[in-house]
Amino acid sequence: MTVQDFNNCVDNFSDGVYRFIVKNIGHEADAQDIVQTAFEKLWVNRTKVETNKAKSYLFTVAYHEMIDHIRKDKKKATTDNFEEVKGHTNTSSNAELKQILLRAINELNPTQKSLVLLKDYEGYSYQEIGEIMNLSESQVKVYLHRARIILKGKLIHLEKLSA
Amino acid sequence: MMNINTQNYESYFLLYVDNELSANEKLAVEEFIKDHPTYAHELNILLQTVLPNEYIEFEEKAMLYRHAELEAGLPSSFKQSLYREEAKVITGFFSKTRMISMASVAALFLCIIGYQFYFNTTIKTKQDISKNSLQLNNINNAVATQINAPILKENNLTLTSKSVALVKSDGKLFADINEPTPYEPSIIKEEAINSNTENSGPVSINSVAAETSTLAINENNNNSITAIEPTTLNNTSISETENYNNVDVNEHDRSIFIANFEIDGEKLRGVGRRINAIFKRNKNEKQK
Repeated sequence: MTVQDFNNCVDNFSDGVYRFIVKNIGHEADAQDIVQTAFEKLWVNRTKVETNKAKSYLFTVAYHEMIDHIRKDKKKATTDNFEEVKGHTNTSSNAELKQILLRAINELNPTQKSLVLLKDYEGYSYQEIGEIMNLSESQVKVYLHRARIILKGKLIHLEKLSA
Repeated sequence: MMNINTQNYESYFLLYVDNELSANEKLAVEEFIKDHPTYAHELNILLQTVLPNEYIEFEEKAMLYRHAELEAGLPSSFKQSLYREEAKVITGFFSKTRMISMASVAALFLCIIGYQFYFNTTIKTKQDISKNSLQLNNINNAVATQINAPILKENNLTLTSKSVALVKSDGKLFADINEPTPYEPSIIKEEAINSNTENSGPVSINSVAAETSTLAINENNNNSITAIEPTTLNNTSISETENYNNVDVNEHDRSIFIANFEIDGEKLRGVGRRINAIFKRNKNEKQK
């Protein structure tokens, strides 16, 4: 991987990695540190990592760094994570539903939350998610389906309440 | 062909939401919804669980960029030529513990030497004795040569006494002929030879028998030397003289002196013989 390839990775993947991390931990400064660490490791291992695998490598490193960070900082509250993040959503018509969904996602465990984020934001397949999170494909499928069912139940519950 | 029914629809709906179905499978799910509109709402809610696309920019990209000119480095071969290796420090011989042990040994030697200088009175006496014995040895050698010369001349003997040692120890004189002296007993039997030695006083010389033959010379007050047959010469008593009374010819000082320590030589007697016997025994056993 050349310097140019690395800079292309920064351009193409840094936003996605940062979004994935900041949506998980809800803390911008910590997320920036994790992203920086992930790219630092990519630079150190640039001779070993192929350019076409750089995105997966970055997410893998960032995910494990995030797990370490969560373990070290368990006391930190993870609720209302999404409210802290400055984001620009494409949909504005159903903002209330989105807020409900974001709160529901915050109530998932870290693994389920990461699965949903990797699937919905990055569009990774079950196999790719399994490689990043060090899970089997069937595990990814089962955990992600459980997360969807939980989210569906919360949405139905809120829907009933609003009705 | 997929078989979606009311029992397994949920798993297909989840796969549909996760975009894990092929185009045909997606069509199959949509056909199922058309056939079963009551499940359409459930699929819609599952579709709502998918997070909408959201763009969040990482604003610190500048920190991550690498610049080729900054990252440019010297070729590794040139770097290798610049490397220097640290000299190896040999700590084996001159280590701290070794120096301490050497110093302690040196101190011990100094103590021994100092002890020797302070308490060397016994050594001095022994040295005096050895000096006296050396002088006496010289005297008696002269006597022996002068005595032997006429014997050899008169009796045609081939007396080849190679070593005659006279040792005076604590006032005792004894002579030791280490090597056998060939002679003809029939010729020299009971023959007295007058010797005019330089010694004014009477001298008593006792020749102790060797393994095969021994020449015993007895010089009485008349300064006569008597050659005796070997069979009768062993441990022959010799007349005492005035100066060297109590001459003990059998006593050998076998003690070993190291500094002022004395090792009793008598205790070491026969050690070599015993060791030799052990080796011989082992050798015989091996041969057997």
